[in-house]
Amino acid sequence: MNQRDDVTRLLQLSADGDAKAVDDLLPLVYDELHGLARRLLSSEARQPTLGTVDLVHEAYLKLVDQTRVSWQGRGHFLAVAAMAMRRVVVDRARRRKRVKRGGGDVHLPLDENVDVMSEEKADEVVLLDLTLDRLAEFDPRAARIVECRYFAGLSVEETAQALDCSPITVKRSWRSAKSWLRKEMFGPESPA
Amino acid sequence: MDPQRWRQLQDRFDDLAERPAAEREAELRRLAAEDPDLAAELRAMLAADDTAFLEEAAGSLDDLPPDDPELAPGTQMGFYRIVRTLGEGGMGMVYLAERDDGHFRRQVALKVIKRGMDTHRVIRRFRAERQILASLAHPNIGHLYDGGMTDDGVPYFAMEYVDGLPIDRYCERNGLGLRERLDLMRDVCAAVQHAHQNLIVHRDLKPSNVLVDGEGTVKLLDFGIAKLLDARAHPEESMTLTGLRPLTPDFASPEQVRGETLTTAADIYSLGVLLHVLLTGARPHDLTTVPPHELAAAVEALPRPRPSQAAVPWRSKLKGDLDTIVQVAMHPDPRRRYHSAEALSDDLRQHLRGHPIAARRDSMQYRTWKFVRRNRLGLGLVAGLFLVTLIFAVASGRQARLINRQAESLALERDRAEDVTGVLVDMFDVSDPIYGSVERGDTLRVRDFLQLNEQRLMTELADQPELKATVCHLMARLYGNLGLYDRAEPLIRESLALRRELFAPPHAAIASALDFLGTVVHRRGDYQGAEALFRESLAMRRELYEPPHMDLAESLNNLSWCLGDQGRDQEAVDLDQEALDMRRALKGDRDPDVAQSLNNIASGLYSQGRLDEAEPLWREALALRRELLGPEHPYVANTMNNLGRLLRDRGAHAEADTLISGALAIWTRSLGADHPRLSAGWFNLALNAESLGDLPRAVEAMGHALALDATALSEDHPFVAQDREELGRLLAADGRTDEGLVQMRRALDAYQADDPDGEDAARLRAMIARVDQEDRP
Repeated sequence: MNQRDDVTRLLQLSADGDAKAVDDLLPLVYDELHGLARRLLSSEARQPTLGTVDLVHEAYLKLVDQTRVSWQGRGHFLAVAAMAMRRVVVDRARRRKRVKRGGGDVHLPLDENVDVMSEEKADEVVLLDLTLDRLAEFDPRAARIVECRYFAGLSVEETAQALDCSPITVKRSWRSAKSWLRKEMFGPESPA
Repeated sequence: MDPQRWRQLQDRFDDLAERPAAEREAELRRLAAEDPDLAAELRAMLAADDTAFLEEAAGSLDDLPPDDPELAPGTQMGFYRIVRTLGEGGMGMVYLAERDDGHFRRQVALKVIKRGMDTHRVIRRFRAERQILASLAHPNIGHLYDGGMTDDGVPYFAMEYVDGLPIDRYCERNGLGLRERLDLMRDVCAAVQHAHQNLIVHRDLKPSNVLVDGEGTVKLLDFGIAKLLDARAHPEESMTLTGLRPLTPDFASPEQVRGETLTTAADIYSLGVLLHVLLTGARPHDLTTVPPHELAAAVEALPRPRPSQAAVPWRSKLKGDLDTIVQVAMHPDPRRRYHSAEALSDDLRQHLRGHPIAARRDSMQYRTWKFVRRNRLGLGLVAGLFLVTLIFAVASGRQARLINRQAESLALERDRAEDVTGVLVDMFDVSDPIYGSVERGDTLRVRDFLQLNEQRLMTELADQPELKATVCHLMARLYGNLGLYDRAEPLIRESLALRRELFAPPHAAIASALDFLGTVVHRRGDYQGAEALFRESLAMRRELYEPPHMDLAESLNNLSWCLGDQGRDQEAVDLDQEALDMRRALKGDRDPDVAQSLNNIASGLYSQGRLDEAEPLWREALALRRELLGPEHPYVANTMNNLGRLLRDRGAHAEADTLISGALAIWTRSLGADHPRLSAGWFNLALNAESLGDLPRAVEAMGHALALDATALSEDHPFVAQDREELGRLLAADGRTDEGLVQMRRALDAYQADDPDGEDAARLRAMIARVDQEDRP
């Protein structure tokens, strides 16, 4: 079974309004992003500047036959990839916390030894993940915007494409959502 | 929190976050009396407002430890002391270091080469080439200061420290649009060109070697370093190949992958890859997973890159030029690439200006299409509006910087500019699906767009008169291209008024606004008004410039056009001759402007009945225009129409019909069937059809002419009356007397309103009387 065909077909379905197609996409995209991240992290040839957005673009090129997917389809892919990327990053952060706290019961596969994130950052990511769920309760779109911008590293334009709204909405929502999150996470007097 | 409450909070936040602190505090206090909870929440959010928070995307893999042990801060390397690690490159670790020898302090990027390289040879080469490398003084090239060897024999280089992002990430991070990306790319080309002129090939151009700093300045790093490290580059001193050849497969030219001798063409290839990355966000090929020994075979089989296949917002703009530019730069055969980085850059500039690119210069069809894009309707308009957007964004930023250096207001200004830009870009995205088709449907949309957004733009620009004048002028020209002269006129008048306030005459910007206003006024039929404007513009330009000068020639040409339409043909011919002489002096014989002057002189001669003199000039102008502008250019059609009319007068009706029909076909394709320009063609075609004895065709054609003129011009415009007179006459001749009389009477009304005792009115009264009489049984 060809993964690329699957993803491309699901994107076409989702562009036609099939909501379940998005649910089916998520695990496929997650696996790919996770695998890509692991490979790139352990590869000697990795570039020093690689970020999540590179992974998302890379995954898109690998998983999607661009000649068969519309502009809207790419938006859907980016949206799903942002969700998946959030999971990848949060999973990494959780694992990092477990490792650091010395849980002797955790056995790490060899290739994940290189999966390093500073503890401070790992804490922040896990806390953000929880706070973001709360934001989603009253402003789901703002939560998705944070997903796209922060977890997937998408640009304002790509985020707008992913969520089918205007770049101006993204910018405005992004700023107020960040302030609310920062206030909730660290209190108003939080350090920069 | 409930969604409604959040929206309330959000709106207040958006508003207050933009205001100065004092105002914000006052508003918060006022709100506290009204809704203390909301005020407290708002205050906490505003306190937490931090532009940097979450801006660095999560999971960026930069913070991973390197494979080689890092040098700790404080470690001494020669004259340099390590401050911190910057990152890891293909050749080794890079550190931020400080040189402090008591005389001066300098921060540098210190590149410590991986073990395994042949240290002595690297150092020896460095010494041999350091003079050349040091000579690379260019604002876009990171300077190489020094090189040396550590105590335990590891070579290092000290280079200018650039605090910036790799160019592709910089573009992503700042959400740069296509044009800004191309501008950055041109800076990269300039730096590479400079190095090539100094006979230095980079050999390893890729985003991580092309940084952009906070000021938006491009800096190329590591020039010449790759060669120092490449054993194959110095076969004379090496019998063994270490295999440690710095190479980034996705960016390396095929000849580089094959290990052949490298020339500047290798860098051109890498520039092509880099351009592809900037255009699409992705590399054209993925060779990272190909094992080294299979690389050479893999590059042979690479498909031609097609940036326009990528899913990016400006995808449709990549088709054509940019696809071609990338393909030429990345041509597998080094000899068929751009011969220099400058040539590549020139083509990017040509593309940005909407001019034909060199890579396609041979194709006539292409050039024609290009013109159509540039000058006509929808696509030209879209490009023009992007220009408006860009000017606006750039100028806002610049003005903010000049007016107020405070970071806060700077950010505000930029946001505002971005918002306006965002609105415009959104609009274009909406009409994007039709963008690909070069058909006329889009003109309507663009027209609507202009009308919808004109007011908004004008309001936004209220406090920037100079920019506003430019934008008004530009929009007026766009309306003019669409044939919407009534809409163009108030805009160009506004532009002129603003410039008269801003500048002291004589001034080039005032002269240019006068000139275009003259054109619009002329097109609307007020020849005397136009003449005054053209004369003022000409006088100003005569003060500003020494002849010969292109702007002077332009003014002479336009004044002549205006005099010619008033029947002052000899004056017109004299001015045209002066314009022609200037144009020939400046541009030589084979130039589109020269062709224009020839065409216009012939028109003046024709109007004086000097057909023998006019015909060869028109034929010459037609040949020149066909050759220089391509066979589909509307100007070619203008001259075809003129020549057709002359041939009709001479009785060569068959050739006249071919020429005039041909002109109409070109105009229809390039300007659209309802552009006012076509009325002249229909008018001439009608009279020629009459001469050929085909009255129904003549009536139909004259009907088209009238419909166009009546829409574009006012009822009292001389063309409209003339169309009605001729249509009436043709209808009557074809036996449709009643319809004919209606048209004639309306024409008579117009003539009489102008001059009751004039020649036109008298002629028409006689004609009506005759037709009326003949019609009676």
